[in-house]
Amino acid sequence: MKKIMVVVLALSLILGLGALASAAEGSLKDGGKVSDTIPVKAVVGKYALVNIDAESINFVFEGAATENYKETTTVAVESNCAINLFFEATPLKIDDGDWIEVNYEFGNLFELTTTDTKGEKSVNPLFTQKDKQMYNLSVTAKLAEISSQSASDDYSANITITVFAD
Amino acid sequence: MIQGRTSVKLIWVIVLALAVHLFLLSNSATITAAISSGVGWDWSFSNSDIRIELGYDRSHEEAVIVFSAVSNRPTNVSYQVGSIKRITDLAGYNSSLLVSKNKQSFQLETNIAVHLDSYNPSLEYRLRMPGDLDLPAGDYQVELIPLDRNLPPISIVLRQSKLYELHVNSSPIEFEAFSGPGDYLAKEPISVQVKTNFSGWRLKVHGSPLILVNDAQFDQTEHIPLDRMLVSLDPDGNFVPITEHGVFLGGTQSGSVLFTVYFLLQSTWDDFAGTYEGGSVSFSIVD
Repeated sequence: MKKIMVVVLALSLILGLGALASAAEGSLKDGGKVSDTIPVKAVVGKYALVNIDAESINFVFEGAATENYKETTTVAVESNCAINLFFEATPLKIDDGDWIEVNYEFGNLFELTTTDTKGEKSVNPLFTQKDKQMYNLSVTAKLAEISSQSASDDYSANITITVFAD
Repeated sequence: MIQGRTSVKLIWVIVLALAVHLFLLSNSATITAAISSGVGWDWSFSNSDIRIELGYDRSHEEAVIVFSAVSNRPTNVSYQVGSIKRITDLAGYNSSLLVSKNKQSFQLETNIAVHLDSYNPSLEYRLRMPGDLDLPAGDYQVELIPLDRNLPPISIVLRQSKLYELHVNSSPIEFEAFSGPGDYLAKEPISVQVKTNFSGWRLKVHGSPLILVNDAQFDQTEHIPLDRMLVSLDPDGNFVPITEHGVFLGGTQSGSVLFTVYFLLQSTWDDFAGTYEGGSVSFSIVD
């Protein structure tokens, strides 16, 4: 699953600027120069990008007890301001309620395990100023007893990574 | 012997006369120089009442006319500004001249009235072409016509310098880069009205970079470099970066032109989020 989340954060600056008209005049004799100058202003909005390299992370289990697999992808985070990160993972489960334990390692920032409920982690702040970092996201799924989870092709979970500014 | 003494006396008389004449000439020259230093004298006239001298400054943009009383009688002289013709094409213009009696304040005049007496035995007038953009730059033949038929007309050559007016009508140039790295047109283009009295000029634009406001948290001043602010006369055309030394917009121009100038900001990930100020854009006319 590949998610590209572009988060444009609220920024409202009202510039109360009246109309201006300026003028300059003069003679160009003897190489004379006269110029007219106007000010320039710019507002750059708070902007960030989150890019999970893998479009999806897939596990195929034979069904053996404690069978486990680990997949790794990369997450690129870039921003032009200080940002916080919020990580959310829904449980890897099917409709009738069976679930598979999943462990997430987000670089060396945090570790999170989901069972039958969703897991959340915050990193505040992730960046203290504009920055660009690449993180390894390791996902390890592990079966319990053979009878703990039904055989099914429909186990699924979602990972959502959100960055935001204060 | 007597003849010899007479000859010596005669020689002394001649020497004395020459000395007096030289003194007078020298004195006269000194007075003139005191009135108008830096003036090259070009023409003069004198009669029993008045002496008129015409000269110019080095650039020929200013004529100097000195009226001096020769006798002790009060003298009134009046000249009217007659024809004004451009020398290159003999095009005629109805205009007045800028006239000053004190070398400082000039007023538009069509008539020069001179009154000389014992208090003002000599008066100096300075004449310039009016700062009128309708008068093309170049050299003009100006005739000053006397009201007194006993006086000659004064023909002067005045140079109209290259003049221009530059009006920038706009609010400050504002960029709003709210959608991440990319190109952002300024909210409004800039109107630049240039009026000139000559051909062969070009519009030049140069500027200074934008600086992040309230960036005390950083060790260095954060700014958007000048080369990421671009300019063009066509919003869909080729934008070129503004440099410290400036870039020319369009080609060589003649007379008066109204420009609509478009600005574009290239925002990158290098730009901190925030408000940038302190930048400026300057327009100038280059001959």
